[in-house]
Amino acid sequence: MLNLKTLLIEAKTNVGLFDAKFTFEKGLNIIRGDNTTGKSTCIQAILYCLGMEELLGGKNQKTMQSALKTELAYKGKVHPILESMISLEVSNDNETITLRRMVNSEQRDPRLIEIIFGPAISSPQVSYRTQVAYVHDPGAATDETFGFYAFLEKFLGLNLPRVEHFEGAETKLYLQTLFPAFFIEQKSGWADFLATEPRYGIRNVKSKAIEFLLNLDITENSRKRQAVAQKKAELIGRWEGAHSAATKTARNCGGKLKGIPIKPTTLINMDEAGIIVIKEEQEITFGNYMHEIQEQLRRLENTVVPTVGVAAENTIKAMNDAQNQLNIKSLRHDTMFSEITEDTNKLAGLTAQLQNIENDLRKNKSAKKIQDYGMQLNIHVAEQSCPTCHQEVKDFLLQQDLEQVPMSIEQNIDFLEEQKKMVLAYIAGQKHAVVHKQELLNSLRQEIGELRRYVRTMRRELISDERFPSEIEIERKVTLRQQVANLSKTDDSFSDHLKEFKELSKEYEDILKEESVLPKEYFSEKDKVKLNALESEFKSLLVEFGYTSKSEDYVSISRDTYLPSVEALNIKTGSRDYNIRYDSSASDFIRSIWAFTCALHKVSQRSAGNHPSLIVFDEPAQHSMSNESMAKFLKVLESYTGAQIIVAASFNNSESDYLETTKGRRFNLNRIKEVLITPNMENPV
Amino acid sequence: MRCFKVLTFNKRPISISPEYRPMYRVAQIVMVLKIASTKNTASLLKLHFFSWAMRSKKNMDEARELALADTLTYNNLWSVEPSLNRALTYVIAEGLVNVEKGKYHLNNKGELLFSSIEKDDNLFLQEKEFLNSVKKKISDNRLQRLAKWWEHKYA
Repeated sequence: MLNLKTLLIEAKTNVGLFDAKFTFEKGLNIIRGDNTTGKSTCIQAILYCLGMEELLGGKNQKTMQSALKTELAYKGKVHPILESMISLEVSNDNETITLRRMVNSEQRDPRLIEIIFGPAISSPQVSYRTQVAYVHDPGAATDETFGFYAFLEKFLGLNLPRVEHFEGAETKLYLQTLFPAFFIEQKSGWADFLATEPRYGIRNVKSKAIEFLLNLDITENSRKRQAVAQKKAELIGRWEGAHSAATKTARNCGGKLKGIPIKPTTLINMDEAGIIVIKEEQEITFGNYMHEIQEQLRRLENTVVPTVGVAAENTIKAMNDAQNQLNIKSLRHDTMFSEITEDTNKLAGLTAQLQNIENDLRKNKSAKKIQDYGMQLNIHVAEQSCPTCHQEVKDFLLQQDLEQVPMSIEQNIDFLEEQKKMVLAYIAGQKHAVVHKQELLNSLRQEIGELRRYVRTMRRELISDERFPSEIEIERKVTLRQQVANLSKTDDSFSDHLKEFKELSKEYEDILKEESVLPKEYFSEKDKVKLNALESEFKSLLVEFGYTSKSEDYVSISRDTYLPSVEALNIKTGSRDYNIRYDSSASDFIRSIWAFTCALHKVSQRSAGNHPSLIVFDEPAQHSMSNESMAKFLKVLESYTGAQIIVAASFNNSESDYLETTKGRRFNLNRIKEVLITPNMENPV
Repeated sequence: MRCFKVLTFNKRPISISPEYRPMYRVAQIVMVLKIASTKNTASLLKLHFFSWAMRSKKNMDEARELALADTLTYNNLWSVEPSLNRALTYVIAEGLVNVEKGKYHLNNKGELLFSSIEKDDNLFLQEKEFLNSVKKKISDNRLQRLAKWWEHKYA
């Protein structure tokens, strides 16, 4: 809750102190003054003291009028200002504080706001605690000790959420983004809903501000959804890491990973997950492979090592067999290699085809869009009719009496999408084939290498002394023993991998559960109730204020932007929603801003929202607003007794208009007679 | 026993290039006149040139080279398509383009269509990029001279 109590503007000139003081109460307050008496200066001063001058389009004292900064005029004379400052007494539900900020000062920096913990204007005392906080410097919104906005946020009892930033990062929903919803200043505030909204690179900043003011669940839900999405992404990263580590382990023993998908899953079939080894172009499980090698070793261990001479005949036979094998495998290798090359070329061709299809699709979609634009501009040919004789023309630039009928654009787009699906499927299949063949090739290479070594060893032996023991057998024993040792290491290592996958899988299941608990629909039931209330309140206020540009049946609050919109019916494209601005007269648009601002406050108040229960309107009677509408406006504002409304108005500089518009109204009046800042009571000037 | 085999043919609509859609070509013409022509005016030859250029990325690259090059020589001939002429009759009949002194000039209604196209960040991105990269560098005169040069060289 934010309640303004007293505003004090002080300026020290060469002829003494000048000031202006305003007191505000709960309910309706009117600041009345003719044009150019400085009402807007007063409103701007309030914003400045709250650190909200960015709504005026800049930072710091440059946003203030010269009448507060450099010189002020009084009774025909101009006096240079030596020092000026603004003080504002405000209260929330519990305490009253005074904010003080320099406008023109050599001693104190205008980027600092002094916070005095007490009503220092209405009852000044030396004993109040004071604190200094800074605005605009980095950290002003987050630094709880020295940041002004962080302080103000806490003072107002708000807890601002984190929201999405354009560059993907997260940032705070700065306090300044809320103010344009209830603080409408004269210079730019009447141009649009939340017209003076500073951006800060926040995505959909206006919607986020309104969501927060209404305290919609969607803000919290968005945050939860984002948190879960982040956890999920992180898990996917860890899973992929585990997957590549497991693949490496598999490759180390000449095999590949099977039964574990690259994307996380909740179902891991532990029986199917394992390493598959490729031997002789066959796939065998790791278990069987290890068993085979162990068998081979066992058989060897039980035989006696013969001499070279005794083993010679077998050795020769074995060598010839091996050589044959080698020849067959080499041939197979070369064939496979050229097959892979051919397949890779095919893949390149398919990829080029895909690009062409995508290009054509893009152009067709553009053609469809431009047809819609053409229809909006009443271009006949976009609706397939002749601009001159209005007969039907076909949807193509070829001869009109062709025997072959071309498709419509929509049919063409469907056709191309089907083609694209088909080509993508081919590409996937082709990629898979290439990967598979590459695996076979690698295993062949390994086998060829082994065979070559084997043949070399045998050749060496056959020319050695025949009394020596056959080295081949010994070597084979050693090799096999080593293989068995490696395989058992791989086995252990793979068990660890499997354990990791099991854990990751369980984590994934938990995340999916969290995800499923999040509300399916965008808005919760409470949110829907609030938005419906906003809509009906807005519509009834429109009628109350005398809005006539559009029937209220066609007016609604957009569930995308939360801003007033109007339904327009286009026969070809169906209905569309437009900002109510486009269909309203100038004064009617102003009425809609009145209605929206009030409705937003009312709904927030009724449903425990975050609206500070303060609304400020600077010159709401824009565009020659009728006195009748203005009177109705003030009547509605008067009814918001639980809040504080401040209206600064000139009433067309007419006493009769003032009386007519405020007839029967009760409010706190601040009257600016001729000029805003006048000599202080004790200044004899 | 006689066996009759009956074969039925169903005439299905055929897919055509989006270049043959009237509104697509109309938009193309509007963009060329606004972005790549001085005073929103271009000759027929230039419109055919740009129509050819925007048909493929390869053509656009060659057109860009022509825009940057100072020399008159140019190796690739561009084509002239009757479908563009048909599109031009539409564009004039719809009141988007006027014919002034034998050249085509984009008028206010055409400018309206162009602003719809320009505002849309998802429409004709490649084409907009291409046209903005050559801007007004390819003039009517230049293309005229090129055409004449070919006549002398090849005809």
